[in-house]
Amino acid sequence: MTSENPRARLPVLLLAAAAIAGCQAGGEIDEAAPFVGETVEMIVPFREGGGSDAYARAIAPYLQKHLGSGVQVRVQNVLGASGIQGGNEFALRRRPDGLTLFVTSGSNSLPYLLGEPAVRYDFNDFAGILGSPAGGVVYVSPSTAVRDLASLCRASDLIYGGVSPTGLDMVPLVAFALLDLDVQSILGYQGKGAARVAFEQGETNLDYQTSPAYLASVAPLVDEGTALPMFTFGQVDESGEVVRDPVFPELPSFREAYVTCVGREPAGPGWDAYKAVLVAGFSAQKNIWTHSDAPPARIEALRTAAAAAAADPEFLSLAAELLGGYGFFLGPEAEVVFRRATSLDAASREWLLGLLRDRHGVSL
Amino acid sequence: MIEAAFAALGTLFTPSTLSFVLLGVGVGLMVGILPGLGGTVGMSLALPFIFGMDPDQAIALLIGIAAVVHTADTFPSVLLGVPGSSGSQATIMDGYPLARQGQASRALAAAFFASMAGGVIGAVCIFLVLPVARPMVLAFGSPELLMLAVLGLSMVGILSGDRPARGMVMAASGLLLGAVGAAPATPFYRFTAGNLYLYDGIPLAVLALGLFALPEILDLLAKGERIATEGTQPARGSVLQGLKDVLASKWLVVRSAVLGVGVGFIPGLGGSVVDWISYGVAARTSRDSEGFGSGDIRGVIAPESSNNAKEGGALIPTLLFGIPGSGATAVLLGGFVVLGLQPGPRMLTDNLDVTLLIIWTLALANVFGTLACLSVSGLVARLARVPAARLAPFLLVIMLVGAYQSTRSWGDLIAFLVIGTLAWFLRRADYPLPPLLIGFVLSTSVERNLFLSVERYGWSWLGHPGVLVITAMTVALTWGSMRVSKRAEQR
Amino acid sequence: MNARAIAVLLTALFTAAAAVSWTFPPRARVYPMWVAIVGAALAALTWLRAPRSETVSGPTLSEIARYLWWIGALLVTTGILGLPTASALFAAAFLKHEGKAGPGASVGAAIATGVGLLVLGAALDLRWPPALIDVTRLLGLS
Repeated sequence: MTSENPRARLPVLLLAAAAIAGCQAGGEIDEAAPFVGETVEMIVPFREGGGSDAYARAIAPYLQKHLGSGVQVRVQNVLGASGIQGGNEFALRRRPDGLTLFVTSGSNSLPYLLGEPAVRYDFNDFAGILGSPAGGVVYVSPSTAVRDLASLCRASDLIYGGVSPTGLDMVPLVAFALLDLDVQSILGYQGKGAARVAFEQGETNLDYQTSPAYLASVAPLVDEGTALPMFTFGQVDESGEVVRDPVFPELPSFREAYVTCVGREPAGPGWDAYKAVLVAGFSAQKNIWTHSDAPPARIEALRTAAAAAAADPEFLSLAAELLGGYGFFLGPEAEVVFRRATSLDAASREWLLGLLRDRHGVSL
Repeated sequence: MIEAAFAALGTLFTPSTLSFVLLGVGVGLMVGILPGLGGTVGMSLALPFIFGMDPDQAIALLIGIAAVVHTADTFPSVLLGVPGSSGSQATIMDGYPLARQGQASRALAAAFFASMAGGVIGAVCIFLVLPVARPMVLAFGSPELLMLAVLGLSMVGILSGDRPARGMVMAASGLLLGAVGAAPATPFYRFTAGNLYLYDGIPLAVLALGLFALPEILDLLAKGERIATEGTQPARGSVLQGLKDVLASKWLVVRSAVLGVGVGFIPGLGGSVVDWISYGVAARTSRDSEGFGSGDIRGVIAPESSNNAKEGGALIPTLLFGIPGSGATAVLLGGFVVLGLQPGPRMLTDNLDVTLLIIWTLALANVFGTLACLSVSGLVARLARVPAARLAPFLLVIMLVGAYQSTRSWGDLIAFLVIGTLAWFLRRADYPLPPLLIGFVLSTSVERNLFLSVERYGWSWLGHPGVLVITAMTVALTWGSMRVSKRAEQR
Repeated sequence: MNARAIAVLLTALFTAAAAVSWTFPPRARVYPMWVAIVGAALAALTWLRAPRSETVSGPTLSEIARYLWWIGALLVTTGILGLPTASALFAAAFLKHEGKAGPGASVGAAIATGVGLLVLGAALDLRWPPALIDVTRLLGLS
């Protein structure tokens, strides 16, 4: 009965394996070198080749380098439910040992902000390691009556093409509502790339692109005169103000656009909602987190390593390509900026849900 | 441009770049031959390594992978009746019957030569259309994309054999299955029963493996057969015969390749239907087409010519607009970003050398891939002569591994088993399964573009010139096939 | 299972899908509902046209049931021991019982399958399904 042998040997193997595993677990963390001999996994909730994945894979070797020798940093793609599955896996199934990082994007924070029932993770349980903002530019076709910001607010022939009312498009949709633009919003394009092609075709005439895509694909259109930049979404700074986008210092921010169109400084629940979705979607576009109940020595070491990576000239040149040349929010700073978004007060929340319900037929 | 093309050729023919093309071809062949894995997996594999690589070499590696996946995926399609990847699904229609008739070597050889010709023609085509590619892509708005999806759906007729009503039921099932998961343009998840696995819909690879592979293996096992029921000795000169078959249908090869480039080139239609459309058109427009579906070599040549050409076509929207034309090009896009190349209009001006290098690599990798596949095809073709009971355990394991890579969750394995079992019942009741797959693949395109067209244009889009042209083509093809089948009945 | 029974089943499934779609929000409802309604009508048509008794040659359910159990057992073992180990055991057991292979060949197949999968997994960076006692992971092989 030789064929039975593998099965007969199995219990022995299992015992041996359990013994080995037992020896490894339960060791104390060395405060001075809290990661030596360990493998750090970065959970990316999207498929290989996407923006989040490229960012994680770009930073992983630099994190590894600055965490010191004897540490491995690996990227793991956990797919499903448009990014939500990865967050659930990180929050519910991974041990808070500081060895698992979670790379989030707007696809994680916006559903969280809106209270999507599938979201089982809570950003309040996460400790921020590194944050990197992104920006967006709104532009319009010269085939419309629009020539400058002032005429944008009066135009009546605007057609905007977007992907989904609860994705990143929420930022422009809230912006258009605050400006009270007369715009027909057509949602359902496969992605922002497809929406840009629709703009070029003339199927739509109002669009936005994130900074890297704008620089690559829209800037040439601006040069040849087939697209007019209007305003950037702006950046939320540490004090909570919306300021000009550092990558496009020549373009007005949305705050300035509001002043031009409406004639006063923005305020109220709509404005707070705008800032919340802007932070969730753009200012905290790519954030790296770990569990907040991870060993403090490890959280500290991760933050230090991330700060060093963010100052590493090699990584910076790579990051400029990927993210469009924004700076970084380090550790606690990333958290502060992010928390501001998630502490949406009841009035702003109601305003936001009302907009989605009344203008886009979405009940949440 | 000619001068720049030769400069790019010079870049390609440096030892280091060439070795990366070869490495890419090796990886591409490996993932192509395993059912369920495709270009997406192969390119994802290479992605971590290209950080910090020389851009020319990285491109050689990535394009090398993408170019040959649809050459190698012919092995499982022909030998096992299992779609090797989303591009080789239609090849099973005639390739597998040929393998069962003991002509696996001939079918494989024909497929590889057709793949090579298609790939090279694809590369030539994109070189030629490069200057006018942007306006051509821009000619397809949402209404035109919708009508192209409908054109794809009209292929259901020819793929239903003598069961048109059942074919349409299956196509409707596919359209409905395609609606599972997130609805476009609204945060709502359909038919998921709260199951997170279904939020992103059923993965195509799991569906294709379940539909075609599991029922076939179950039947082979129950009948205690081997795949090749006739001709248990390898036929001599079958490779030469395959080459002759391809030469005899040279116009079919050219036509299918051009069709492949065309479909790949149109963003958003989904490269997964190109082989079916090509197969359907070949079956409708060829003389003596009654043998299609039961082992006509042209049913192998047509889809194989177009699926390699498609990867070339799919590069156009990827390079010029940054929107992926297929799963593999989506990963390629990620690779570009890492290399600091932003796709867009500049790929025709500042970065023209990169674009041309890509085209050359595509052509060369196709030649390498074909030679490699031909050299092992005789050996691999012997698999068809192994009794099912000895082959099945390995096939089942490989298919589970392949299915699991779709979303890497247990749901993949369970969905594979459930879909496979249901497909077995459908097959037993003589319901044709290819229409289900076509409906599934086109479902999102139909829904998305229908909504966009109606919201943007009301119903006036029905009068758009592009819509009228595509509608006329659909009607002509459908009418043509009805005439063919009537003639067949009268005989 | 004949064509008639399938047609009845499909009609029922399409009708149920149409009914479920009715509860969806407007934007998500229209497409699946109409597809389901048309599907139900088409399925009903094939039901009417299906001959009362139709024989399609091929194995019966009882003939393939055994193999479905085999696959089910493979999945269960995978859930317990991990895919590489389960596959190796499955290959050996299947070859011995179904393929009438000798003990040597079965053990060889088990080793080849296990080693082959681990090599393939390492080369292609494949992932294995999570398992209760993942043998190869515990041994540090994957």
